[in-house]
Amino acid sequence: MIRVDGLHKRFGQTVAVDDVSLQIETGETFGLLGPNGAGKSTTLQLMMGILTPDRGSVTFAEDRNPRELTTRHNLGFAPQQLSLYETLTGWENLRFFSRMYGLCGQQQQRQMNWALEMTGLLDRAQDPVKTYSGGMKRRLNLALAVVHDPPLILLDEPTVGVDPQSRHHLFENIEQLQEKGRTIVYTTHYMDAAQRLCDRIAIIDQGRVLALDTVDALVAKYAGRSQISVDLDETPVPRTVLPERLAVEQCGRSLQWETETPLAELELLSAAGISVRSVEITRPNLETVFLNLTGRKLRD
Amino acid sequence: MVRILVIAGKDLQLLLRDPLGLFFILAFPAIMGIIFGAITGSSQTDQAILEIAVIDEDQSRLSTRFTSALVETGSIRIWNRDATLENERQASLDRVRRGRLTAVVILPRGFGETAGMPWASPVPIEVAIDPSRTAERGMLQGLLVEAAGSLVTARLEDPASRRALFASGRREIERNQKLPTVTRGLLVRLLDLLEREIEGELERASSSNPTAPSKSTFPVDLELARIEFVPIDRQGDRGLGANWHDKVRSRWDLSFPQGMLWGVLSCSAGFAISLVREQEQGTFLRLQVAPLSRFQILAGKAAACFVTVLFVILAMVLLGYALGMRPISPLLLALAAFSIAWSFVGIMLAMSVTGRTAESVNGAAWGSGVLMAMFGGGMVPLVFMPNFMQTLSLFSPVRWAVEALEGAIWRNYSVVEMLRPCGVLMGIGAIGFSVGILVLKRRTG
Ligand SMILES: Nc1ncnc2c1ncn2[C@@H]1O[C@H](COP(=O)(O)OP(=O)(O)OP(=O)(O)O)[C@@H](O)[C@H]1O
Ligand SMILES: [Mg+2]
Repeated sequence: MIRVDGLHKRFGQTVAVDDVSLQIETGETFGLLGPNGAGKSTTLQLMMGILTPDRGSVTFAEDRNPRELTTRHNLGFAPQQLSLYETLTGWENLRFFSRMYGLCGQQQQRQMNWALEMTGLLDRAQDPVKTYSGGMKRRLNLALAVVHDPPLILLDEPTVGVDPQSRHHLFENIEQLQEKGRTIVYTTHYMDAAQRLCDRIAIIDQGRVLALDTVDALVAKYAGRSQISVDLDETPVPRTVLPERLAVEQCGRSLQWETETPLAELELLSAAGISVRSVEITRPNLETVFLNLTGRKLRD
Repeated sequence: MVRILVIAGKDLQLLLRDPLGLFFILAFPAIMGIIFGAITGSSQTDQAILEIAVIDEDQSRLSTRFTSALVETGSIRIWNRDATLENERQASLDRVRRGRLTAVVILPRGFGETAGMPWASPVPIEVAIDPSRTAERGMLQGLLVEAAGSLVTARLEDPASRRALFASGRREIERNQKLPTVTRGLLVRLLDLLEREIEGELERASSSNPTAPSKSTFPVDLELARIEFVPIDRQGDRGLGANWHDKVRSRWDLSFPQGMLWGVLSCSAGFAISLVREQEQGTFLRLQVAPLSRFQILAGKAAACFVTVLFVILAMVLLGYALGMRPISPLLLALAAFSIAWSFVGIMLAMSVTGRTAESVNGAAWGSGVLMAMFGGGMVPLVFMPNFMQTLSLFSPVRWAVEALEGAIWRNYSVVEMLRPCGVLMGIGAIGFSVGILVLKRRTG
């Protein structure tokens, strides 16, 4: 659907995007995961032709370039910053922007109703946007991106700064769009969102793509093993009592070690007759992937 | 095209939801127009009739005649018409000092002896005028000379003073030793001839039309001087200040173009701010992603600004009309309005790129607007500006806009005369468009 080759963009001294190449397939949800300032928004704007790259190219299906009007018709974009007319109502915002995509008459009404219904804003549609909560504004921001039902949807941090309920609502909306077979590009710095929604993920930091694959493959490749930490019931057990196979670190009454088979090794503990008060297993995830790739946490 | 109109419609809708913006665009200019009109009207235009005091120390036939002639000009009201002479001089001067009278005119003793004799050196008339009434100064001067001129007629009409006039003329010639004897003889004979000729004319006129008022009996149209009203604080007779009070017909003629320009400036500033605000809040980005050209986005904004400017001018014209302003040429007024709208839309685009935030553009737009207004006649009407200010004003779009409006409302410009201010406005607009679009293009990639 989109091919991005060797994109490069700098703002003054800052290199925002450094040699990024991607290929996004029709119908998939593609995640751009990275910390603040990684270059996610800049990459999206380069893909849409809003910014001109210093080097590299963006090609849409059928060899179209992003500045062509046909390409833009097929594209929906929810900016990271809430981009709404605060003094107009939700309905008026939708009517205006859908008009910009050439919708009118019955079709326009139908699409607007669908978008409002999906985002749960139908009963507040006649209120001015400035009276909406943060979560409602986010949902309207999404509704505006999809009201013309484009095959390609680009979402820039669509859940930033909303409460868990609205977040859940937004995730469901995006899943609905996935079911309709839309291609989605999704940028975020929340790894749980990426993990839940994205088929493939590019991890980017400081403008560069560090890794690109499915979630499972990334975890398998970069996340390493699960971490187990155990609190014992009794005073420290002598080293000799512990099963030999386990590479355990002991510190007071707590034990910690890494393994690929956490459950089997906990079995060994109980077989040795050691009684345990609590157990915590941390499965490797994208957070660990990022930590291992950069030596930093995703959200510093 | 439809999309441009939809964008423009959205911008007008945004404006309607912004009470403060509406106030500056509609109410503010109306208030300015009415207040300026009320102020200037009471001291300037409505007082095409000057209120003065006349102190007649001479009390002669001709000095009385002079006073009546002043009243007959129709431009002067004499405050102390029937008052006695005692203390009058001091009282009148006090009234001028307190701003209650425009001037005091003093006819000194001996005024009547030489008044109306073209060849005698006149006893000077003393005038004390309120120093703030600079505009009326020249007008009063003209009226005084006009009244003095009528005394020549007065002298000729009365047989006794006519004879005295010619006798003194002959004496003057006789006494002047510098003239060659032949010339002196010729001049005396010429005077005799003139006297006989005038006598004959007067008799014929009175026998053929005995009921005619005495004023028109004298057939020779003698005037001491023909007066052009030149305000005395101005050098020469050029610039927009020339002859203005012959043409202005209502106190609103000057103040409404002024007020309109404040409304127009508010429009430019308001839309410039809304354009950066869209960039700031991201709706501009949304529009850029939509299948629109940059031209369409800006044209929509520009169209909304254009319509608003036209609306402001129209609303002010209607308000002015209700108050008594009568534009001379509605067609030229429309031309002026369109040029102004074009020009200030260009200025709006240029203003919108003076900063990256609504606050900075707000500051820059209003700052430059006030400067343009100050030097362009938005605060002090152009006609009252000293020459150097008028020269500076050439750089202010507001000045050209005011000239275009005034040209249509009261200056009675021809189409050709209108082309200059309107052409300059169009040029300014084009420059504004280019600057705005180039900078915006560079900025948004
Ligand atoms: N218009 C601009 N002018 C100058 N620098 C910019 C501009 N836009 C982005 N940058 C810089 O480019 C880098 C990447 O910014 P970008 O907004 O793409 O990051 P991001 O990954 O979207 O971050 P966030 O998660 O905070 O949205 C940052 O260092 C930023 O400061
Ligand atoms: Mg971003």
